[in-house]
Amino acid sequence: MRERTKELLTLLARADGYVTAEELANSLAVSNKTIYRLVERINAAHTEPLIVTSRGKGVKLLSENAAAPVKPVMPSGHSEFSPLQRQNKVLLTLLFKAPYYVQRIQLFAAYYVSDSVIQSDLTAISNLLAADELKLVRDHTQVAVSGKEENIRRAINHTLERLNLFSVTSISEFSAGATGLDKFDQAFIVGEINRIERTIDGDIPYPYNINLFSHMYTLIMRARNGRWAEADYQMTPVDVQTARDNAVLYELAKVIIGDFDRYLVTQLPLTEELNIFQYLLSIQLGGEASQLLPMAPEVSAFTRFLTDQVAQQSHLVLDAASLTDLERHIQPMLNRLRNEITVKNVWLTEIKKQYGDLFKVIAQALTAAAKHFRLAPISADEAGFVTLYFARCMEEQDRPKRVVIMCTSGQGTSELLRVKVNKYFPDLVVPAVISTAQYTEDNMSTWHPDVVLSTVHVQPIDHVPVLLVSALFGDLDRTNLRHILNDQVEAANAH
Amino acid sequence: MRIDVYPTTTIGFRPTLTAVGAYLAARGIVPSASVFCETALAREQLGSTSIGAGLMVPHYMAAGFTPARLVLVPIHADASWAGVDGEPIQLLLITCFDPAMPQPAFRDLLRALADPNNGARLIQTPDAELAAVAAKMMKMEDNNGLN
Repeated sequence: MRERTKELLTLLARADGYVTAEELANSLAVSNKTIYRLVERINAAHTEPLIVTSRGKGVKLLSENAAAPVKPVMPSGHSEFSPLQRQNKVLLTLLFKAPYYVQRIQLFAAYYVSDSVIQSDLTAISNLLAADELKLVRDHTQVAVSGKEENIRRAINHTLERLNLFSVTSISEFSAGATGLDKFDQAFIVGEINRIERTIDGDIPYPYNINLFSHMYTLIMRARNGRWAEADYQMTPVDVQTARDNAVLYELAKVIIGDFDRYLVTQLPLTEELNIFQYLLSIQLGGEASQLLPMAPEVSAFTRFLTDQVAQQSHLVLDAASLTDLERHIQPMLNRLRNEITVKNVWLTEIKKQYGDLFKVIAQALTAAAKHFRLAPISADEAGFVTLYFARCMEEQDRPKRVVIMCTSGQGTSELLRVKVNKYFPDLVVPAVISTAQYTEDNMSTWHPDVVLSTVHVQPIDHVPVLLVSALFGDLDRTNLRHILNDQVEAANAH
Repeated sequence: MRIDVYPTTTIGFRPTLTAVGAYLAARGIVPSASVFCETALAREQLGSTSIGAGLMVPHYMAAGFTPARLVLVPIHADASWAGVDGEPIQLLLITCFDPAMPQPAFRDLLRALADPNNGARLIQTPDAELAAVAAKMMKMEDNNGLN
């Protein structure tokens, strides 16, 4: 493993910029997963990340550190883990086993550390547990975690986060770092996620897929290793109403927990049914699946408050489509806040870099909104996701209008029209001059026009207006085009 | 690319298309005068190909039609009809081509006609020189392609 680490660092030091995981995996004759694991270990062994990972680009040695001598990557002794990694891995084992005791020797056996290191690790673990209102119970030879199940679940999430398990964008990457998860468990969870996707008739996108996988992983590990009191929980009137309003997802949650019961040969309590249900409510469903979640009135109120705050600070106004998309994001976000479901945003650094000022405005507006609606503080990760909705709109408003020009052949009157459009509307972008045969949904989504100028009559596609003009492109045609473009700007501002 | 100049006509739009169709059909270029005429008229029904200032560019589009052809037809004042700008049509530039094939020469011609001076120049050109002037606007190197 050490040899591979050195080889990886050498390859990255020689590279000019980003290198894909695939290229590195080929060079080192290992899998992509191994590359990511090596990167994680190298970074964990340093106070500052030595390697940066970017989705779609690959990995890169940070230039400011590349020139400096590379520190020894592995800590001293036989362990391949940094002290922080070791402490969190031990903590995770204890949390999964709670409330059962674990022998100290057994707990640290894999790390080959001295008694004094074990003592200091247990003190650090005790402090971490205290932050989640849990206690580390010790006697001479064994230790255990004591506390409420909801706090244990929260502490597990925090520990997984510290182990960087949420800093991945695929389930396979998460699985690679998930302690105690075997291939059967992985296949079972993936099967359950597939079942959900079939029911909602759509994909569960990142980061919700990772969140759901993590929750199911935790459930398996807790049920298999630990024990929690059979809470005599009765559904509250709010629970009942929510289940009624979202009957499809609630029934799905019951089916999923039924599958878990059979897989784990146990009977999970009602709270687990409700937990899965809350996770399902916290997923942003796209397309037709979004109809499964009726929009709660408070979502509109929250969104209006947020957009007003942002408009006051930045004069940025969302168009109708973006507003609807934002509401679809806010609905599950509010549910996450209420149920302490956290999401990690691997793009946060990039978002802050690209849209720094906008991110600050959004973060402030979300803080104000959280206070106004008496919600838990909203994390930077959540603010990053919300920023993207406003950023998209900002980019849209800044971009020049686009006009696709069309005639039957795409090479006759449309060519004349292109010259005239360029002459009278020099700011317009003409991404394509097309024939009617090329007027398809696929092409339109590629060219993304604001209006189609056509010398022949055709029906609009995707609500993009079609202006029928003569090849002469006379005064009336030009006035009509101006009206359409102005109407679009006014419609955007009206929202 | 071939350029034909049809003699100045003293008949209306449809009869002119039929006459040009007969001329091309007699040379085995189009299946028949009526097919030629109906195809071009069907295109007009989707939207006029009048481009103003006395010019009109009817299309005869057919799969496999090659080489592309431009038929120039001066229209006598007595037979003329109004274009989209109300001006009487004085010259037909009938473009015959396979729409699936790129037609850079036609594109160049249409771009040139965006300048009203070029349109006026074509209308004023005597029949005998019309093909050469059009060829120049289409950026054709020489007149080898002319009929």
